[in-house]
Amino acid sequence: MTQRTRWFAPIALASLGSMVLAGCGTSQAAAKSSTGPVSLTFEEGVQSPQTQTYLQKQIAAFEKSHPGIHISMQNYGAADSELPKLESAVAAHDPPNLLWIAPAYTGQFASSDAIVEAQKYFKSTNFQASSIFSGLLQTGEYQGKVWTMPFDANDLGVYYNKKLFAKAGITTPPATWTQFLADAKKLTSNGTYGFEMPIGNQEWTVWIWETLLWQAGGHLLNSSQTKVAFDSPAGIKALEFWNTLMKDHVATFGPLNDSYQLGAFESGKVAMTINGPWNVAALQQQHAVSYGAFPLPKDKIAATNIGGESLFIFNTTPAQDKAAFLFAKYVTTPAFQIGYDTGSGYLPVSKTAQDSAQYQAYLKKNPFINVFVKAMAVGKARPPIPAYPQISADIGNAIENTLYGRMSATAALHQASVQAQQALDASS
Amino acid sequence: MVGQRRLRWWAALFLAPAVILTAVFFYYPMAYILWLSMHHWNGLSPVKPFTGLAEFRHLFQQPIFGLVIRNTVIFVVGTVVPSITIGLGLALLANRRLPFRSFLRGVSFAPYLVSFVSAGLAWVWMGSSGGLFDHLMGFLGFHPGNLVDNPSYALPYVIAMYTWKMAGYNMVLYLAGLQTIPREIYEAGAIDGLQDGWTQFRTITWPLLAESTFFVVIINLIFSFRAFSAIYVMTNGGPVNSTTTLVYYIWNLAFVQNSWGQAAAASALLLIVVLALTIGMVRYFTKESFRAS
Amino acid sequence: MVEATPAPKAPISPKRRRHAGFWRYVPYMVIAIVVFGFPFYWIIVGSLSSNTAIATGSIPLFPLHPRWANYRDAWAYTNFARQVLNTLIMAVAVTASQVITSSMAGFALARMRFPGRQALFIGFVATLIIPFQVIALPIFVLMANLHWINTFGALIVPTAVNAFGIFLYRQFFLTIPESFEEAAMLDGANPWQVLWRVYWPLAKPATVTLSLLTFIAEWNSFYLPFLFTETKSMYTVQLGLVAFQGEFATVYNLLMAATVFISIPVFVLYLMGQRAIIEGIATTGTKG
Repeated sequence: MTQRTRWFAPIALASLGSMVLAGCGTSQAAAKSSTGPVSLTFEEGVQSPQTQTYLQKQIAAFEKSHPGIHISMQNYGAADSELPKLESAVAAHDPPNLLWIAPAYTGQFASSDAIVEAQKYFKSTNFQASSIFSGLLQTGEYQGKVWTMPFDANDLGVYYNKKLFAKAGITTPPATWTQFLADAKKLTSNGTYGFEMPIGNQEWTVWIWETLLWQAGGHLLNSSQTKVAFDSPAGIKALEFWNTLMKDHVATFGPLNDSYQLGAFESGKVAMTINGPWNVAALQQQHAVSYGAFPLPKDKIAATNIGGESLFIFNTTPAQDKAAFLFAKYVTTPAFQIGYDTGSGYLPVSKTAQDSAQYQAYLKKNPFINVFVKAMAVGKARPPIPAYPQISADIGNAIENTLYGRMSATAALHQASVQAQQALDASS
Repeated sequence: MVGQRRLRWWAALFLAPAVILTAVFFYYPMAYILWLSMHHWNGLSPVKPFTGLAEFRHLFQQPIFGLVIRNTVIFVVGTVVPSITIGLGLALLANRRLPFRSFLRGVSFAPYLVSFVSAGLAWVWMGSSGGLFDHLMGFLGFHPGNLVDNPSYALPYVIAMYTWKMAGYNMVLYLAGLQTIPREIYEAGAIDGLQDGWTQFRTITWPLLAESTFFVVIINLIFSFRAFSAIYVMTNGGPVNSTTTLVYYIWNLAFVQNSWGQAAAASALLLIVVLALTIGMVRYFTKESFRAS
Repeated sequence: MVEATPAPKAPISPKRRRHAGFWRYVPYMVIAIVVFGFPFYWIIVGSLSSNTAIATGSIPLFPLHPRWANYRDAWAYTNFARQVLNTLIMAVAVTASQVITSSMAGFALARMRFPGRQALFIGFVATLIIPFQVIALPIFVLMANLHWINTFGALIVPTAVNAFGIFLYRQFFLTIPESFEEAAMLDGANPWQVLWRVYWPLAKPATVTLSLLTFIAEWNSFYLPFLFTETKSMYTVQLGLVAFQGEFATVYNLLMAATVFISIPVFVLYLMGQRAIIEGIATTGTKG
């Protein structure tokens, strides 16, 4: 691609004359080539308007302390549906300077030279990498180097309906899979289900299922990341466990591919659902359900899946890349983190922010959030390799095939692992 | 008078915008898709190595590929046949001098006007558990629950929505066809004793509608092969890929799984199928009666 | 059923026949109107219901206590005003472009003789069959290389030509007697002036039809803006509706309210230009 298209398009335009061009957009490339003060574009997918406002304020504060850097922020909507296009826009060399997105995509962008390695600025900007939780920093690693910078963190836990628990006579939340199944049975009565099963073959379902794989002692990949490893006794056990919950009729499917939505939980139709800390504001606003959270039950070990977003710095000019890193560094400071986290329900990325008196006071008032903060200790992260999206899609198909009774867990995982291995081989 | 030669320059000027835009946005992409289907590309990498037919082979080896083809055939046949049949029925009804016939026309054409996104959302709600259809079927002692979340019902349900939306469009096409049939033919038929409605339809109406039917079938095939929005909004291709059709799969391969080579191969397959339809389309649009009126 | 030659063996008066027919067809009419019309009624009822009524599936057949606030809430929740503006810009620009490119090409194909005319016409018509999804990937790459992703350029230029419009104008221009052209030429007008001063004003019905159909199609279009936009500030109404679903998948009363107000412009246009729209669709089907 190609001399030909570059040559064609201007003519197409010229022949259309003035009529079409009235609305044609401004290219971001124009803004980038300007000299002097550095202008950065920053794209994010933050949903809540309050958090948006906070971000704007913090950007203003950053600009004040870093004269000469200007950041313009734009919202790209819901991440799940936008990511595909973002990647492709990046392929076409039209990225923002800074992108707020899940670090699982680090490898994909890093391997195609789209982003800048963050680690190369650590020394020159005096950035203390040790101030960041090491597990979080690893989510942005590719080939042993840190490429993307943590922005916020989250993980998974179980939401539960306190009233339904009391009605079923459950005083302590289930800590193991066995107890979880038993309690789900107790919580199921006419019209109410013990658990809401995430369903769909997209990332949300897979993200949750991976915690069960780890809890059962399994792994997604082997240690050298050359072979897929989820087609194991642990993987089968994890999938069978979900299947049992469905077969015993103590769980009901959530909205297909939208199982992160809380409709059924908030209307008291399900007693337990797996979700993250970020819904705290929405939960506080509703008054129908008295809610609480507890850590994901364990099997062989306890595990949760670390999520959250990182900042990706896209390759532009050296001056812009460095300015972008300075903003990424600023984001990790307590000055940014504490206000951001207490407003959004996301978890801090640094020990200093988490240990601050202000945040600790917040946790005391919000035991719900504290469940997720504590769970970070057993957090694992998805491998940020280029083939992850395909591997995730294959696992998603296996989960659906099993839970809808189309295939046995064994056969479904085997089929998925063959596909995933092919994708892994093709990407290396 | 402008000379022949100068006239050609004028013709070239008038045609330039349309020709260039058509070349850039239709013919070049078609060629590019065929080229890309023989290369491996993840959508990001700067290199696209030539792989011959390997992308097609990988595509055929996907465990869900057979299912995708099956879904596509079921969807296309399942939408085209009933929406044409119902459209014809509506046209016959609305062509009679009955009271409220313009109301009937308006109401049955209305679904065609709303977007697939809107209609899809409305049908998701009507098909949800505790929704309209759940209630209606409850009267028959049958509780299907959430229709779009059920792998057995999702595809038929999307097909039903699509048929509901397209039947009125086919009615309009058939009404125009019916109005070209002179009344005298029916009256002559009545003299010959062809009075009962079905015989009349079989011996007069249907044969005289052949041209309309030809066009209606082709245009409906095109629309059905293209259906994306309704599926995206209603089911996301699920559950268990039960509503993943070829166009949905192309999108998924390219933008979700980053397998642009395979997506191009799947696009090339679809291109070949529709090219067969193109021949019919071109013959229709270039037939004698369109030359001059 | 005009006063025709009296059929010898059927001395039934036209009036009575009509009457008899009416009762025979009433059941079909009722079924058709309910099947096609009731969902619309139900969407409106849903948009005025409370969330509890929706969640418990106990919606009254008639909304006795309509919650008009649903409309206000649905409008407020997302940035619909901006999306309406974006959609208007896109739809108006695409419509204008299509009218211009189509009338020019249609005029050349109908009124000018040059080698390859028929082949060119076939070349245009053949594009009607190509599903956009097939060519979307290369166009996406092209748009990205031009840095047009997330700009109006990507929303407008790829759809600035439409073979249906070319066909429509060509058919229309074919019906205009050559004497018009000759008279203008004698007055010293060049073909450009002949097209815009003589032919184009006469083709107003074609212009109205194409404009209405294109505008509605653009208002309703999803896949192209879905691929070619990135940030919420560039969303069109249909994308906004899908994003709304992403956030409030089961809050059906608000979803239905949004669905209703997004569909209103289309129905207004239809009521205004009903005849042109119906004829435009019918033209392709039967002319000749």
